[in-house]
Amino acid sequence: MNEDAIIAVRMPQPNVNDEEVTLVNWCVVDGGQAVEGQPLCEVETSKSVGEVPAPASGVVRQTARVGDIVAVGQIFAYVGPSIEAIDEYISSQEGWSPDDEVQQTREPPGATAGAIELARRYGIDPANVPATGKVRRSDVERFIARRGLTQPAGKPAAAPAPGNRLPPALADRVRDEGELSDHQSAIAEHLARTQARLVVAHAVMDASMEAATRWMNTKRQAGVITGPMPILLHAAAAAICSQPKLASFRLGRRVYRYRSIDIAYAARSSDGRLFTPVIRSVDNRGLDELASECGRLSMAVFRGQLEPADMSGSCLTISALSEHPVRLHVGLQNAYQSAILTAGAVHDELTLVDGKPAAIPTITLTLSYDHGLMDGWEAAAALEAARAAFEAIHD
Amino acid sequence: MIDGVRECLARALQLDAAVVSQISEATTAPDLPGWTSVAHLSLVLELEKTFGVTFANDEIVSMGSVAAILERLRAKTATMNDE
Repeated sequence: MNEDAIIAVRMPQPNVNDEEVTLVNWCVVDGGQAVEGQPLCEVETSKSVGEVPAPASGVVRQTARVGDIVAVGQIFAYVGPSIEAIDEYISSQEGWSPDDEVQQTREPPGATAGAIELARRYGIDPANVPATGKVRRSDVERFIARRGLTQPAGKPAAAPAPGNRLPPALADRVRDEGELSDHQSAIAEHLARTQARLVVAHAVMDASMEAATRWMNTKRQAGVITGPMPILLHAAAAAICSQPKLASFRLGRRVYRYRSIDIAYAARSSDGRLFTPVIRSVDNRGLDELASECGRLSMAVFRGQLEPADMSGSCLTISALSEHPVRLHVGLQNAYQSAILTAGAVHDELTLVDGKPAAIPTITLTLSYDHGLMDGWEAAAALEAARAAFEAIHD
Repeated sequence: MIDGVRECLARALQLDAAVVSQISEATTAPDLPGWTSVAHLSLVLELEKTFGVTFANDEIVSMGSVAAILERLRAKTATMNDE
């Protein structure tokens, strides 16, 4: 870091589904010395308590207090060469003062901090945003989209961090397409951070779709709409029962295991945002119940009505691209998980049945796991358990 | 009411006119290959927008036929009329 540089520290997204966190402890006092990479504060998410490291070494100016709810992406501290230099810098920012920032982290009744932060950027009063109950960030995003609002020109965009500057040689070869949405950016940063902690390896196995197809067709004939996700959940639970390390994760040298087989699956909202609703106690539910729960949660995702409680605390994630002709689909683990099970689309595999060639509907399962926690033999055994459960379902 | 359901199915499942004209109260999900679990979510929103009703998230899974949809719509619109 340039010794004179002042860095605005924004709240990272510790979990893909968290829009806000609670600041529970400062590890460096106001005016104290932060060390790059060492804990700056502790935050509580919907899942757990974690540390936020200092992005650089220097003097810390806190702009949020313990107990504050801080939106992801919101500035909650500055790091610079001295308190005086930081305060002078802050004062130069369009009438901003530390007290203002602290005030902004207060959550007035009726809107989440994430909603307030986004509404403020667009000059919207959260009270004017239609919502069922408390105004959430997704309500504000819908409000903005429906009115075609654009972010008002204000302060010029901050200069990109050194690692994000465009190489001069590319300046004439590329076109600036603007910024990612907050949601996209948060997911990208979240996944990049999580992947940096894992030693990712993959195991791939084909599974026959014959039994699954029969089950889905039987349900459709009975007027029940379901895809393969309930069967994948059932298979993932079988894999975890076979290899409990799939429900574990590492933090440094310490290993934690989830007490319940709660499994998330990737689903998209009607405006294309990715969410991971969680089905609880998958190992204790039958396929019909899983189908019903998938339908309920998928509809909530599609409407943008998923509650934080529906997204927290899963031990593993499933992602399926059954709507696209993708055979091999490799997923990325979510925070505080070591594995993700993915499935591609159904395709026909030519095989011999009773000595005659036959086309068998097949799905390719991929288990991406943390090789720092389990080895390839264990992963293969777990995937085999998933395949066996997937192929053995019946009404 | 069934004409409105046909229009909703046409939009959500992106059906052409020839297929839409064949839709009747006896049509079920297996009759329309595009009626997948993902397309079904769009269909529910289309139905809600067209008929001014709201379905509970936990009742949509069992709406996999035109008859089931009409039954739900009739029950909801009857309740609305009573009010």
